[in-house]
Amino acid sequence: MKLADGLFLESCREVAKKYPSITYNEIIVDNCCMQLVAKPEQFDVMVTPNLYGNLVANTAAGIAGGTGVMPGGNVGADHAVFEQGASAGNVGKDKIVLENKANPVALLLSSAMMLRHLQFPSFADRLETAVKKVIAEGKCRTKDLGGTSTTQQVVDAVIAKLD
Amino acid sequence: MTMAANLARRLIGNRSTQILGADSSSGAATSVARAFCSSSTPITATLFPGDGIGPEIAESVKKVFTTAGVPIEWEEHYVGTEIDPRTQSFLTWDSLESVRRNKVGLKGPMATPIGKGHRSLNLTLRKELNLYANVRPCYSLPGYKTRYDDVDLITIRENTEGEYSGLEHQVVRGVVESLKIITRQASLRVAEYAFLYAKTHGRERVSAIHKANIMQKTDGLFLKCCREVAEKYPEITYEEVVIDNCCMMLVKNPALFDVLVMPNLYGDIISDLCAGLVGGLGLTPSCNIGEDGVALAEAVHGSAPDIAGKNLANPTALLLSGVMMLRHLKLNEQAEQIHSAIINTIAEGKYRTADLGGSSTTTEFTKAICDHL
Repeated sequence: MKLADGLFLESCREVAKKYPSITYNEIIVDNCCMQLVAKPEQFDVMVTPNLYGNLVANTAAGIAGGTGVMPGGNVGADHAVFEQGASAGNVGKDKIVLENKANPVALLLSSAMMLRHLQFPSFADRLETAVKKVIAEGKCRTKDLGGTSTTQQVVDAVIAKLD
Repeated sequence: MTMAANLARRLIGNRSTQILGADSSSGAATSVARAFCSSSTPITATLFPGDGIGPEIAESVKKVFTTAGVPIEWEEHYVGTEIDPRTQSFLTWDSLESVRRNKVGLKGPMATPIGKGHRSLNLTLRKELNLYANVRPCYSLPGYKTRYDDVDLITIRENTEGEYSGLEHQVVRGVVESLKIITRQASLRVAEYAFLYAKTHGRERVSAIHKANIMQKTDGLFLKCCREVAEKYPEITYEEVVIDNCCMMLVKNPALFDVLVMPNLYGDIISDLCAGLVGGLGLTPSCNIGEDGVALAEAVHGSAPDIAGKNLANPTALLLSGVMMLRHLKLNEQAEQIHSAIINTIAEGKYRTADLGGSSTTTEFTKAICDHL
């Protein structure tokens, strides 16, 4: 889509010029998805138009462990709203709520992002470290990560790990 | 003429095309079978070896097919050095007529020459032959380890319209509009092919991939057409999956999918994503289906000019595409033979080309496959 995506690229290039210390490159979205699947470690920050961003974010979320662990934030000129990074697909299903199996990690990490945005880096770090420790330990995980813990158990574990 | 009618005419072409009903599409399949019926008379197929590594891998295919006793005679065509005014491209009218006549072809990688005043080669093929569906089977190759072992799916991508209709314009400086066109005719056509493919290949489920929650009219129309066709195949499970969910599910658990049918852009992205799951474009076969039973199988990787002529290229993609072509021609026995030979050779691991982590040359790899036949 030469004109539309062309305009997007032109704009990115203009901004890239102002940050010479940051490497900038461009990749076609289908090749990008293929690379993500094969070698995701080659990517750092990815900026995309709307639809591609949806797809790429979900692909990346899948690689990273699913909607249950990926944090996200929406940023505007005056406000910022933080929420899970990838579409849940289970939104609005009461059954999931009752089962108490939802993974709180994504939202916890999103709130850490919010803390960072509010310039509270030490709080953000503490929260993130606790969450990561709980996951790394592997003892307390919800169903989507292959465990049997409930939402509350994971939250309690994170609180216990906070220092 | 109204603008909508003009648009439709530009996309569909001046030929009058009828919306395929179940009878006529299965009719197309049986007429293809009847036309190619006799296994004693060789079938003529057009071969485009292509550029770069194309000629070498095309040689591989010819060798394997001859060893397997496949009754095919190749009519070779090359990309020209001058623009043919009848096609506005480096692909000559004769080449295209050859495919139209033979109804079946195999294409290697073609490097589109840089410059203006001509259409890209792929675009020329697609438009002139009315190739409306791009079919890519993706399955884990035993012996070639990736992060995913249980992939076995087929992506069927609508290839004529959608976001790639080429209709973009600048509204004012800094504001560009791009039109996404979805027609009932094209959607029905690709859905029909998807279900027919599922039925003839014994697949159980067809998933339509869409973003109809946002693009309610375009993807909505696509889904409507898929649903209509689904009703005619009650034995096949039909489901609809939102594209972002689909990406995530593919990456987390690709075994969930069987046959996927999608409009153009999603198909482009998903088919490449799936190729990445099983090892990349170097191993991916593909077949383009056109009206009147035309099938052009092709290797979708690039022409790799850096290794051209060095006997290092991996012919797997072109070979597997050739197998797809054989299945289309209902030469299933030989297709299965060659397919097994390729799988076994790669699984064995003794003869592998450099891109698969081995050190065999193209000719050694080809010979190993022939020995496995």
